[in-house]
Amino acid sequence: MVKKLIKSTALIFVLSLAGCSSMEALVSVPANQGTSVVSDYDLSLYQRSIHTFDPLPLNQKVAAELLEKRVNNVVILLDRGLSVSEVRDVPVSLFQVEMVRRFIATSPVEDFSFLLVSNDRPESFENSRVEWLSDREELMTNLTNFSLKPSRAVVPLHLALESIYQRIDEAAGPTAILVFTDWDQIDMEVQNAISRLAQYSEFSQGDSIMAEPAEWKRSGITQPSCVHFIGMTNYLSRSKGSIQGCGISKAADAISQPSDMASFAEQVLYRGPRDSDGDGVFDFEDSCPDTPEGRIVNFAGCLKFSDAGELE
Amino acid sequence: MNRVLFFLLFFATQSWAADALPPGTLNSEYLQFKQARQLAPDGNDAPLAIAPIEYLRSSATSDDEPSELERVVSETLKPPSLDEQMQEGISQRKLEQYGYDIFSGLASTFAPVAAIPVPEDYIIGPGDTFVVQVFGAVDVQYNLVVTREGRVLVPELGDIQVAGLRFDEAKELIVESLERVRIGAKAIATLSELRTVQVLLVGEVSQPGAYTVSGLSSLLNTLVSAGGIRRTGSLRNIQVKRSGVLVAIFDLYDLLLNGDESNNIHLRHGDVVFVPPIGATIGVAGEVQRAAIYELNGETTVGDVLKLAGGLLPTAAATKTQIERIESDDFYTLIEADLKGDGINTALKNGDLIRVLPVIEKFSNVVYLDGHVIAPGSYQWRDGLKIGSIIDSRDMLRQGTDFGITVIERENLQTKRSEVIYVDLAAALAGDPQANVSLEPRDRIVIFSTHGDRSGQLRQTVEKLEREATVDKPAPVVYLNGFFKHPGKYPLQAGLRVTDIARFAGGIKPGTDLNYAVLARTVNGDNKTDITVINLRRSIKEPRGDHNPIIRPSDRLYFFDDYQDRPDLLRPEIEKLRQQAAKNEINRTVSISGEVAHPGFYPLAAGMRLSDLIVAGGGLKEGASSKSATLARRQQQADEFTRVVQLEVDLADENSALLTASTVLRPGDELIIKAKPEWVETTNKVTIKGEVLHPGTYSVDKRETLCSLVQRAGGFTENAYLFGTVFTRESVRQREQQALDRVMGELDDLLAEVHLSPGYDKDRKLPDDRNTLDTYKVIKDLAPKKAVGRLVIDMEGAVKSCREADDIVLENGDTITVPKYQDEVSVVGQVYFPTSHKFKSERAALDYINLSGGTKELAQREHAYVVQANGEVMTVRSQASTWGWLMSPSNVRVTPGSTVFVPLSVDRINGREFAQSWVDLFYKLTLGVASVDYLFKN
Repeated sequence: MVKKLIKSTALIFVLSLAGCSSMEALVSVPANQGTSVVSDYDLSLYQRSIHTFDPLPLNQKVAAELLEKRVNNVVILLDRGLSVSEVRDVPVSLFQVEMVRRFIATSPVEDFSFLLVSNDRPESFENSRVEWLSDREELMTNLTNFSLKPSRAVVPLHLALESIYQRIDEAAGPTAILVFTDWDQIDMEVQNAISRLAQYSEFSQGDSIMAEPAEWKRSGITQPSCVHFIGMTNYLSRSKGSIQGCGISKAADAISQPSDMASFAEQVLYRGPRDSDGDGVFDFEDSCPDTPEGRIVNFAGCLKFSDAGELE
Repeated sequence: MNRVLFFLLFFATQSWAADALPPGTLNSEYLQFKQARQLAPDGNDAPLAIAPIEYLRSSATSDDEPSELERVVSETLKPPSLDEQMQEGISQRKLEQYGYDIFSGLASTFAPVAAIPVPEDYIIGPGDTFVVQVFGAVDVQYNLVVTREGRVLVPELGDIQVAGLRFDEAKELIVESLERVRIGAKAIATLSELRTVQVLLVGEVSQPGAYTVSGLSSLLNTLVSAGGIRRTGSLRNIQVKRSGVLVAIFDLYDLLLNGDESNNIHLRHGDVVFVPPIGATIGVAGEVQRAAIYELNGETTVGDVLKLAGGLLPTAAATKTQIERIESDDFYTLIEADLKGDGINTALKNGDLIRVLPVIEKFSNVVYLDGHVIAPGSYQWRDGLKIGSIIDSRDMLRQGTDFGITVIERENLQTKRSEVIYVDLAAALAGDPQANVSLEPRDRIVIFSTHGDRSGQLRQTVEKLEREATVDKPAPVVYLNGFFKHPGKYPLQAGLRVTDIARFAGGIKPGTDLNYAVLARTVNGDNKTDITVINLRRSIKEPRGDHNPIIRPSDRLYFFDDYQDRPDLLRPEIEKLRQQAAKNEINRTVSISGEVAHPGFYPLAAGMRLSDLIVAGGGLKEGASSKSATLARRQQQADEFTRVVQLEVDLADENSALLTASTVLRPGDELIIKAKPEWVETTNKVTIKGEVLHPGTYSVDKRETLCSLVQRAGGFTENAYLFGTVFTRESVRQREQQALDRVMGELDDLLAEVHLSPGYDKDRKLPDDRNTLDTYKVIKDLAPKKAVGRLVIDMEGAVKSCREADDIVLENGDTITVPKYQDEVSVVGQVYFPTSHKFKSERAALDYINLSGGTKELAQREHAYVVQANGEVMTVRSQASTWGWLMSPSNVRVTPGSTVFVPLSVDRINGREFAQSWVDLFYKLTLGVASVDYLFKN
């Protein structure tokens, strides 16, 4: 009898302990470290998402909204001289190639001339070696040719940029230069190089302000070339290297997802929808695309008031 | 005869008084009667009985209950049409049978009145009593009753036959007989008591039966005494039969309407009064003198009956009189009769109801002049009347009349809707045929003043228009908001444009932003708000262009000036636009913030560009960067994710790599205008006073120093005492003030604690509350209220070499005061004789104190302070690291222009130790104040 009593008391004790522990498990309060940190992403999740990138191609939007091109050409420069070799256990070079793949997958490649170069292959800056491409398959093939291991001989980024400027004149029209690099890489030299690009754009070859402007400058297209940066090892975007606000700097993470990449590519490649009559209503939603100038239009782009002043 | 007249007068006043009452009271009175009726027993069906002569009517008003006839007629008075229902109050009065109220409300008894004279033609009969008095030779009096044989029996004379004689004949006969017999005597005969007669009342009387009435009674007296005629009885065919022969037919209407009582005969014994049932009746309702139910007696036409009813009222619409008639097939029909034409001769049938409608209560041939005129009111309309002929002289208009606009409010006779016409009054008065419009009857002309509230005068019109509004026909009203001379609601005339309505609202005011005005419109059908941005400059230039559109009903127009809060004014429209965002769309509003005049939300008009938004926002402020701005744009992706894209905008260069000001705005865009780099609203100002060559206020740049300022001020005068320079700085002053306020706050808290805490009583050392309070009061009084913000500087060092290490960078609001050289040292505080002393280099602080007579009893010598001329404060105690020999304070050296303070020993007052620390605090914080004041007193 007594034994039984002891047993039951013990059982109650154990049970109450168990109850306590389960209560503790229910409410877990994280220890406050006192500082706020940007924690790493869950790597497994990230690696999974690499292979599940489902591009949001811009073609449809371009066709639907009649977007006007901001640039004719795109130069993609892979900076292989990064100080960090791995990001989240993935080699940075692999990461770079993947980001380029995503950009190409999203962009309407056929409408632009792409130049794919990296600064561990100095020969790629010479005219004959690398072609301007407008074919998605060829570009993808070229992309796979990039070595994933960093080379010993790397051209400094600012020199690579300067070399690119030499090649920009080959192609007609303004060019977007996408540099896949790191925020640490953008030093004073690079900033100066970008400033020089602004001068190139303004004064053609840049040697003299008296020089003849380049062909595409004369043809009336006045949008100069811009340099955009994609920070491979960075989590947060910075407005580094932006000259006159022309270039965009984005952390790779900020544009790695389909809709972000589509938004980024659209900003880089396109100015916006076409508006042929200049009434402020874009052609894709303009029912009357030839409104006379200086008239008030409605949201359908047609005249709001007839000549008599009445609502149409 | 006289007696009858009396009664007539009495009845007549009764009945007329009832008729003269207003309809409402009559109805309520009727209701009261009806209630009384329900309570009182009905006397109508009382058994045939011979009632005594003083028959008391138990219910005086028993006959006032409406008869069946009255009920039926009143029920048919329901208005047959809606128009008539409006006149219900007039024509819906309950109809009553005419004449019967003569029998109601009378005295309950009908006693024959002895006091009135007996008429001469009274026929003497048995039962009459003569009083005969004989005087002269003998003096006797007889009371003689006429016997059943008709004689009077006179003593000593015998009988005289008097029955059948008229009263005057009988009287003469008696007197003659007496005087003939009694020679020398005179006789007077008179009637004292009259005989009674018995009559039979039958037919439709209230109380049929045999009645014994005074021999003087007429037919009407008898009927009244018998309770009158029932409402089912005829008033016009009352018959009196004597011995089976019809002797009189009495028509009561003759009496009531014409005062003719020729057939109101005196009744004789045995007469039978027969009241036959009522004959044919006609109801007359509406606008007649006496609306009632009338019994016919020979009348055949409408005209005859209207005569009975006293004729038409002036308010009768005679041409539209209706007659309701019961046809043979048991239905009512309606016959219209033109009483001014043949209708007056329309033949009537029993049971007809004549309804005379009132005229419509409207003036037809008038126009109404309203507003800012000397004599507002109605004016006669005639064909071809124009404004200019109504206002035939400018004297009719009051001071300050607005000649630019006049509103004519008109009832459209076809649609019955209100319309307005705006008229240029000046042109109309000048005779311009286009402006001088023809008036229609019932037009309302509103004249405005240039200064008064315009919408108030138009409120009536606007409300009428708003009430008439429907979904497909919105109210023709325009709402003017913002910078108008007279904002508010205005009625709309078809075809008015923006500038027109602006003119009517007092004209476009000077100071209006001509580049941005908003026309908000609710689009019919989908109820959406549509925004048009209007450039008034172009509206004025092109009066028929896009920027001067025709205003539609219920439009809202917003004008702005440079000072109004535009987003606040536009908020109702913004709210509407926010609610109206279509599926998959961002609402059509944009915002601007930063360095613009009116930051906030604005409605997005189609094709609006960045530059338009800046114009809407009142333009850039002076500090705005013209180079770059940021546009935050919401982009909806194909996968429905929304991304906010920050776009850099170049406001200056159209051909830049950035977006330009000509960029089209998208819904939800936010434009942030940046300030110019290092923008300052005003330049920094510093003031230098005192012993400099050019004292005054100087503007300084960002990195200007004290030395360069002194150079600009031309250097010092020879009297300048550089060591005593007072340098005050606003930022320092504010910090000091904060500290001071905090200390004062703490002191207040402490005071409160002292009040509240009972624990102090335990401590024997502490004084009671009264003393504690006094202590703190002393401390508070000692404390200065305002900080000075003095910065102790080394002026000489700063100016001498102009080296950066010693120099001071100036701030906005710095004040530098260079005093004259002073060779005095003043001693203030707890000394016997506070005064100033000549500075001598060999004297130190304590020496000066001694020169002033030494410290007082309450002084705290060891806590004495010296405020040096440059603002440094040093305690006598702190100068030496130790307290010296025998705990006496050391003797601090002083500079010319210094002040020596000997503080009050608070401990001595109350024994509170820590009070001293407060005093210390205040001195340290603010001693500079007193010394600075002292310095510049000289």
